[in-house]
Amino acid sequence: MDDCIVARGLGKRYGDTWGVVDASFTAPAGAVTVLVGPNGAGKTTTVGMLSTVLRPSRGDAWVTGLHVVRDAWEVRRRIALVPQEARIDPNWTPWEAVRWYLVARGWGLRDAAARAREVLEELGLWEIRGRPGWVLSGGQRRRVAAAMALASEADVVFLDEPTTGLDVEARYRVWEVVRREASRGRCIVFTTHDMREAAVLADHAVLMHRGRVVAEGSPQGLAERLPYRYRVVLTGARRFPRAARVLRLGEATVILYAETRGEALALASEAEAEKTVVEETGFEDVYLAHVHAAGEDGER
Amino acid sequence: MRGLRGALGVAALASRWVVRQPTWLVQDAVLALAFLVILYAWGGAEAARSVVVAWIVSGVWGAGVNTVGQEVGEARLFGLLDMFVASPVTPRQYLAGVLLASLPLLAPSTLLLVILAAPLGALGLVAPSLAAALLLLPVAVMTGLAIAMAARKPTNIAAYTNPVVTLLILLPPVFYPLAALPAWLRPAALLAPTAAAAELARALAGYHNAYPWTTPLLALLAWNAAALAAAKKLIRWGAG
Repeated sequence: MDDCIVARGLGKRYGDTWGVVDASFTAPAGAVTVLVGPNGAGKTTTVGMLSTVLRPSRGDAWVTGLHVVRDAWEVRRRIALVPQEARIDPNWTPWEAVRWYLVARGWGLRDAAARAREVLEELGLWEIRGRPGWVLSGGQRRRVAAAMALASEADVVFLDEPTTGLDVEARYRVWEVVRREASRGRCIVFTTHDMREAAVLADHAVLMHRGRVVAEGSPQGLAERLPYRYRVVLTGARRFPRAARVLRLGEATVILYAETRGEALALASEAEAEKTVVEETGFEDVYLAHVHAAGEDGER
Repeated sequence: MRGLRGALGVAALASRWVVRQPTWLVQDAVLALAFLVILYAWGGAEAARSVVVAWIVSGVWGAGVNTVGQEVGEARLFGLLDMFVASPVTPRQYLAGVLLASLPLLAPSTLLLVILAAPLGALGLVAPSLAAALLLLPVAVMTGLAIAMAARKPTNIAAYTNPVVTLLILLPPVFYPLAALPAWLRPAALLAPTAAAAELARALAGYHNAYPWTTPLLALLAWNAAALAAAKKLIRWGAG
């Protein structure tokens, strides 16, 4: 797969603070690339720079081979964006929003109408197509904004936390359309701080923390690189044994890591907690490993 | 064709208020009618005629500054402006679309004034007023856009645009002729773009003007140049 996005040392400075320190990664075409990280990791700023909304303070990035600053106008012909918390105007209906957005992008009226119908149906918005934004829920208005970008058939679609605040069913529908668009050869860049969403959706995951890319690869591949295969999650932990790696999350939640299932079961039997769960490690542990390894003294 | 679609698509979206909130149109027409009645009651047809010039000029100023400013402000608030930035839509197409969408607000009152201009003997004022308003439009749009882009909080944009609109419509000689001011004050009054447009309309029609048409025209052209320069500095379309 060719890379549709290449970022090298991308950084953005706001006054004395670096919103993004060093974003270096690639995103393959025809795949879903998920930028994942905690709040304030720099995901939105990175998307802003790649989508030509923000000018990078340093570094370079290319989208479909075009430089995001020098070739910004050409890049814009090939991309679509749903910014974080974007939602349709209260005066717009879903039908008007998607159809006229496509016309604004240069689509003919008939093609725009057909495509708008297709995407609204796929996202479960067809039934409410004629209702103005002011009677729609916040989640529905956000979903319509996602529909606008996903309908665009742009080479690269940036979706900045499009599923925040959506119910479970709506979230699955968005994932389905995102996967379908990727399978049609589009490059989808999706941001989230939800590890499960990243693990389910990503062909390629880019883990960000404190303005830096700290890991990238397939979620499965990244998880396989972890030195531990099992974990014991203790909720309401009162006492726990020593383990190869111990992670404290909050006051009484502790994760113990083990290399084998037998070792994990032994740790679980020795621990005293309100709830004990033994399970295989996954992408969430990749995230936790990097976030906690990075410490609190990163350059910002 | 593609360029036209860009502006039309934006205009179609930005003009949804016409369908959803048509009472704005009624309010504008009623206000124009009310001003006509009030001035007619106090000063007869001569006073009422001045509303034709003033309403067309102030309507364009309000549409440019307020409607464009607030539309762009809302687009910023809802993340929609960035959606247009990260798309093939150019700033010119976007601006043209937003401007087109603001024009329906002027239609009912302008139509009403054109209809009533004949019995008031003010038909000769309509075309000069429209011509002067056309020259005022770029200044108004750039002003609205510059405020919308420069405001830190998009929710506050109306708080900036409303005073600019009101101040430049009600205080300078728009609803009253520049000739009514003392001679020493007239050049200063002409510095207001709305006053320059109203004076240009009156001068073109030969109706209570203080200066020949070239003087307010020069003032308006200077305003256009200044607005363009300010807009180039203040208006940003993404990373550039």
